[in-house]
Amino acid sequence: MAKGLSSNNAVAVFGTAVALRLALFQFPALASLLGERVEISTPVTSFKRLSEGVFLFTNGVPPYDGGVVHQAPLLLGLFYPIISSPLLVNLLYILIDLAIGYMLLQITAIKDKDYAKEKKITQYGGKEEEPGMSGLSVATLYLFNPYTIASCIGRSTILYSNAAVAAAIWMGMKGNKSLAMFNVAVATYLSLYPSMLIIPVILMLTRKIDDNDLTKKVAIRCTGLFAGSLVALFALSFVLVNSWDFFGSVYGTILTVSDLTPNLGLCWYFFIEMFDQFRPFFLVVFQIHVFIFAVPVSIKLRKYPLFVSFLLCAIMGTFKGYPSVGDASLYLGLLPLSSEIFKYMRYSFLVTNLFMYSTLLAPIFWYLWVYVGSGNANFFYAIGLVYGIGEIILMIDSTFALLRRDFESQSPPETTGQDAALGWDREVVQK
Amino acid sequence: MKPTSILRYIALSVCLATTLAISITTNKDDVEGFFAKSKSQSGHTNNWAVLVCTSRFWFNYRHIANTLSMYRTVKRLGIPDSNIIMMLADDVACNSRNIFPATVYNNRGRHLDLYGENVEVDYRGYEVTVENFIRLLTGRVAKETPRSKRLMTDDQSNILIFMTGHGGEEFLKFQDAEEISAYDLGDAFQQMYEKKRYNEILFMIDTCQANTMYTKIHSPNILATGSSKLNESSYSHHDDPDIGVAVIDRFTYYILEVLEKVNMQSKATLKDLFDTYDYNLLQSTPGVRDDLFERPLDEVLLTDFFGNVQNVELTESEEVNNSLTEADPALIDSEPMFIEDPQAENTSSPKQSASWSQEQSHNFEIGNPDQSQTWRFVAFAVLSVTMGGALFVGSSLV
Amino acid sequence: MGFLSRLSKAQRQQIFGRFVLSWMPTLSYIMVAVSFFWLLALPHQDYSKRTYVSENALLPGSANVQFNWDDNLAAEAYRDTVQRIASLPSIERAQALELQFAAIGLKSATQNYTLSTSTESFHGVNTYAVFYAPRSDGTEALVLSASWLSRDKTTNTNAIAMLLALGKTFKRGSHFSKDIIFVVSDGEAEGLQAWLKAYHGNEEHTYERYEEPLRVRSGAIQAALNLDFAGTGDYNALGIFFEGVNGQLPNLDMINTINLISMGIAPVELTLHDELVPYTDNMTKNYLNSLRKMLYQMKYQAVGTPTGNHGLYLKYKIDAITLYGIDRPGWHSHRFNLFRVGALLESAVRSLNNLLEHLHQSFFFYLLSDVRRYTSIGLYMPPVIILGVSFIFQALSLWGLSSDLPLELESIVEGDTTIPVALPYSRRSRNFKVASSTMGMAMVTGAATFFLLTTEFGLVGESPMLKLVASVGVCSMLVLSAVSAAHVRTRIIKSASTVQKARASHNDTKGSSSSSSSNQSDNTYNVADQELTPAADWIMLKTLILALSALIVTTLSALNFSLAVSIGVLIVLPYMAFRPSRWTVVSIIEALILLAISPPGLMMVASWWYAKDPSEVLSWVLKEYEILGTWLLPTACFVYWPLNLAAVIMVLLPVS
Repeated sequence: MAKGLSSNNAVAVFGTAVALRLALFQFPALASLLGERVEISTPVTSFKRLSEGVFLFTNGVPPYDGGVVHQAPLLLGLFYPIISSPLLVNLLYILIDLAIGYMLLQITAIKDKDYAKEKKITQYGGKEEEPGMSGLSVATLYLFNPYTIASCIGRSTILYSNAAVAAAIWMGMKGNKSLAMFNVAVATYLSLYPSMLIIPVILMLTRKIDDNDLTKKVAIRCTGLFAGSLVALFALSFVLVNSWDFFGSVYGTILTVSDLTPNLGLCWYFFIEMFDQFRPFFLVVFQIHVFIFAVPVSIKLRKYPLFVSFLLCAIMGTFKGYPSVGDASLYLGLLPLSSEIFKYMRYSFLVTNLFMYSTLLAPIFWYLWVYVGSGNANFFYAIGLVYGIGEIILMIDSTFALLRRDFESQSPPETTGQDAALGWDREVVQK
Repeated sequence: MKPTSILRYIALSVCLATTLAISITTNKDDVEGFFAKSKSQSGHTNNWAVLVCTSRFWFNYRHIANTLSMYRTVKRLGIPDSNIIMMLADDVACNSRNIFPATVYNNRGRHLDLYGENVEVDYRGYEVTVENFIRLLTGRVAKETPRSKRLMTDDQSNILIFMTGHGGEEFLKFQDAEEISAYDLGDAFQQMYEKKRYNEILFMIDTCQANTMYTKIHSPNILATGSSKLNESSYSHHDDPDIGVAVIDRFTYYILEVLEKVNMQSKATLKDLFDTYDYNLLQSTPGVRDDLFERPLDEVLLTDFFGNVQNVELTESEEVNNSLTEADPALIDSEPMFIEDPQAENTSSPKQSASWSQEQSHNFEIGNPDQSQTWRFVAFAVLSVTMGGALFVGSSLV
Repeated sequence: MGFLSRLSKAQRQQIFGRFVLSWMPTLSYIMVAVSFFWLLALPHQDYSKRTYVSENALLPGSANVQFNWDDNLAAEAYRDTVQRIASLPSIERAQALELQFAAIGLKSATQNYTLSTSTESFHGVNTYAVFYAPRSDGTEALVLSASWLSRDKTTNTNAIAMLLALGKTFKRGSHFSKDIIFVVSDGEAEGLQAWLKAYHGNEEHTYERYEEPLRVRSGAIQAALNLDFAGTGDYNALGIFFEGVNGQLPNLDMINTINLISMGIAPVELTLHDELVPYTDNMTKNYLNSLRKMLYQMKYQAVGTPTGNHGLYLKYKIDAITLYGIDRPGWHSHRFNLFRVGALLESAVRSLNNLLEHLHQSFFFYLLSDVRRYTSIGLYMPPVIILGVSFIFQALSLWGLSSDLPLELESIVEGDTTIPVALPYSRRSRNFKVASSTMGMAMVTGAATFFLLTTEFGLVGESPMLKLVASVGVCSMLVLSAVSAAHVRTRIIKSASTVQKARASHNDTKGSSSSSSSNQSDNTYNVADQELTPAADWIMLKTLILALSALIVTTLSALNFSLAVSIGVLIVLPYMAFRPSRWTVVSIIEALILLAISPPGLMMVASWWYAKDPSEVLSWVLKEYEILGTWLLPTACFVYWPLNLAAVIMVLLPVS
């Protein structure tokens, strides 16, 4: 295993990543600044709230009574022994971040193996399509993504959910049903939305099975495993905090978007402005909107479960109630797994610019709104919208690129006849 | 029979017959004619005044002074405090910015402290809201509302409604937080008419684009006048350089100038008042709307609205009950307080709404024995209970 | 079917793409011209509007003033006292002043502070006194402040005497809704800075920075007036200074209030800054005067230095301005004395006392071409945005040219039907590795310079100038190594590709002959089997530089318009026009011009302009950053210099 890791390059990449994070953690002011930024830590991922929860838990006060803590009980359990030592906490964060990078590396390795078996697409100049990015590049892109670093230094707990998602995909690609489903369950347990990843992960698990009945059987078994793991996690949580209050505090807060602290998302401003009588209706609309893509996307792109999981993560990161740059770091980390579609993408310049502008302008407009007082909430929300547009264009463009490549692989340019005419942008001109 | 006795008998019979004849031919009108409502007389028996200042904050000193000046005038002309409802933010007299604490003046000369005497503010500070104002006019106040906060008028009441504040086209702001529109006002007056809550109304408004505020009134016997037409501002009259703010508005100032010369016995009419309107003084175009008003303006005494002239009404015995019903505050108390807020209706439990509707239908039977109405009401009550129950069950399920 | 004349979607896109790409560079230059013209037009009278008081509550000048002849006499007496104590050591004069305030009946106190920067150390004592408004709840306050040192570097005698006299006047009144705090600060900016920090509870107690906690307090400060009336004489005019730290501005109503009062109840001639401009009917002269005033404002905003102590309040969301007494003997206007100043200040305080909430009605973003004329953000923002867009257009055209997506179509032949289709992807690969690593290195160098300059290592002979020279050295190393590496690489690739080309042409002839023999009817343009050489590194780097420049200029304009404009105007033409040339001389000239507009180059220009030693300029910039937290140094190090370095590298890269 870990062919990549043995090489010097891998050591350099992971070593630099650790060194960079350790160096940044040396500035506690930076960590607390990032931890307070609304773009990085949301009410459901803030380390400050987690510490409060652990403190309450340690002192025998029910942590979920106060309405401050919205993180899952097992996170409290995880941090309970180590919270007194900042070094251990920081090391844990670094370790988890590295683990995600390592898992991305492993996923790429498995994907490359799959890829080697497929028919190659012919390129311009008659060459065969080259394989996508190396696993190490994918890991590098994740580990040195400014969003990832900011999320890690800001100690956002979205990291644990991200790690569970990455592990689920890795196990799914590897074919380990129970671990894959357990990790989907952990991700679901931590932040609810990843529950829809069960579909692409099942697609990964069954990608080599041709038999329809067997596929169905596997799918049912997987669902059972998922449900079982989830129930077990809940039971464990109950044992830990000895009450079911956490359901309302963790999942209720996620679903009802009851904490309207501004963030990069699209919900808070809506629900602040909305009349109370319309709130339940729009709440349902907004939440269904997040989940509604899972099935159609999985059906249309069932051949590309890795891409489906990227797309679903991007949808979650865009439309959930409390999105943060940590969500972006996950799906931007998953995107290079499908690096062969990059050259088919058309709006990479635009998307990059939109991300850069919103990243710079969000804190600036926040400063103008909250500190200087010359701006207002609309400024900040407008940047949230720009960020959302960037994310949506990225999703549309990457899906287009994937479908275009898919088309290309089925009907290369030489193809004549009906196939060519069926292409969505190939218009026939008769002479 | 002696002739004298016959004569006596005849005289007696004549007397009897005359008495009988008189008693037969004399009807109510002739007796009442002494006081009666002719074209030239308003026929009201009581006077009320509703004085509303819709502004707050120090720099709106003049609006409070406007209202207090008007209060002082109607009080001087005889309307008792019990019949004056004053809505006032009342935040200038004791404002720390007031260089003369606990006073309000309406003139640079500061001869008269409007706040000096007995001033009764009925709705104060944040109580001055559109909702309270409309509830006050239409009488749909909560049960526990004290007498001083009720407009207990009947179909024989003449009401002066004076409003001042910051307004615009067809709206008037209430304390920078909300606004009342000309439609709201028109609806409120129509409800007052339907509920026989007034005999005549004089509606005066001093604000920017004031005349637009009375364009949506369509109920009879309402006379309206405003300080400025559409797209015109109303201006303040002058500043007091010691207090450091404008102390009165032009429209109010010049109206007061007329009213100051009026006493309770005065025969000055509204026409006299309206004739003094002068664009050059006001720097805006004041307006009068009299198309809903039946009497000619030159026969309407100023004291019909600004004063309190007690007319007496004779009624036949059976009518006594009726007018009592109208006027009896105890019965007004039990008048249903409609809850217009849909949310409040949703959240009220079925039990409550049931008892509420029972009580109402009970009252209804006493007051009005019309069968079809009763049935309609019962149907309404049953429906509302069912709907309330359904909502309750539904909401608890959700 | 009659579709002969109709173009396919792909063909339409191709035509559009070619059109756009061919016109975009021209368009972007036109936009730069439009932007420049617009900027120059801003001071013109037709672009500005008359100012007006927006906040209803202010009621400027509507109340009589109570500052009377006795108060004036008191002020004159205080003037003598202040003159007497001015030459005492900080602590003694502060205590003397404290006693004076106490004698009026105000609660007064002093505050010690120490502040060390990397170059020097300051120590001083502030005096402050609070007039508690008798009928208020004490939750809000106004500040009147003056520092011992006027902007003329003389003693601020009249201003401090005025504070005392006003304290006496206010003590008589009972009409205040806000407490009034009088602050006499030591030093230049650092004294008031220390007081403000302590007032807002974020005082520090380290060795380098020490601010004594305040013993006397009041409510939240709503607004502040800073007084600068140097000397003991009369004045010709009153100047208003309003530019705060990092270009932040007070609400325009602050200026409008003074303006109205100066035209009414306390007539004085009012002007912006300390310049007296004669009124003329000459359009050109008026324009030039307005231009000068605007440039003055923009200069201070761009470097981020406040034009007076009022600028420190703005950091705490307190609207403030400095009133400056201009004494210019021989100027035609009526001179005014302390009596007039007292009336004006009392009236201004009365006006601010009327406030119900923070000033918010009027503008926070404006340019003033005169004390009574403003240009709003809607008018001055577009040129910066246009500049940003022209950068983006240039970047886009380079990006488009580095691919062949919008320019070429491939065609598919089926029997007698030819289908033109868009290319699925660019045949020219775009490699960002060189560009992004160069940019990354430049940014690291910039950041390293920043930390080098702002950290003290305690070495012998350590000076900011030495550090700067060191980082310039590092930068030149970076440029040299990047450029030489690129040239070497190109040469290797070239020699390799000539070999490949020879092979490829051999293959091509074979392939084409076979295909033409197999398909005679194929006479259409077919690109399917071609692969283009990757785009040159300099194109990628230039695209990156232009995109980042657009990003910087537009985002910075939201924070500090003047800084954004200065940067934009400075870099737009060089960054857009410069590219590696086949003639080395041209490239080197371009590099030299870029070096001239690099931070060290600009520093040299500034030192020449102000006839100062470069090291003085540098230590001034450092001090401004360390004391006031201006953004000039961070912007230069983290943003401006990296871009400039990358641009220098770009023009020196090999052409192909």
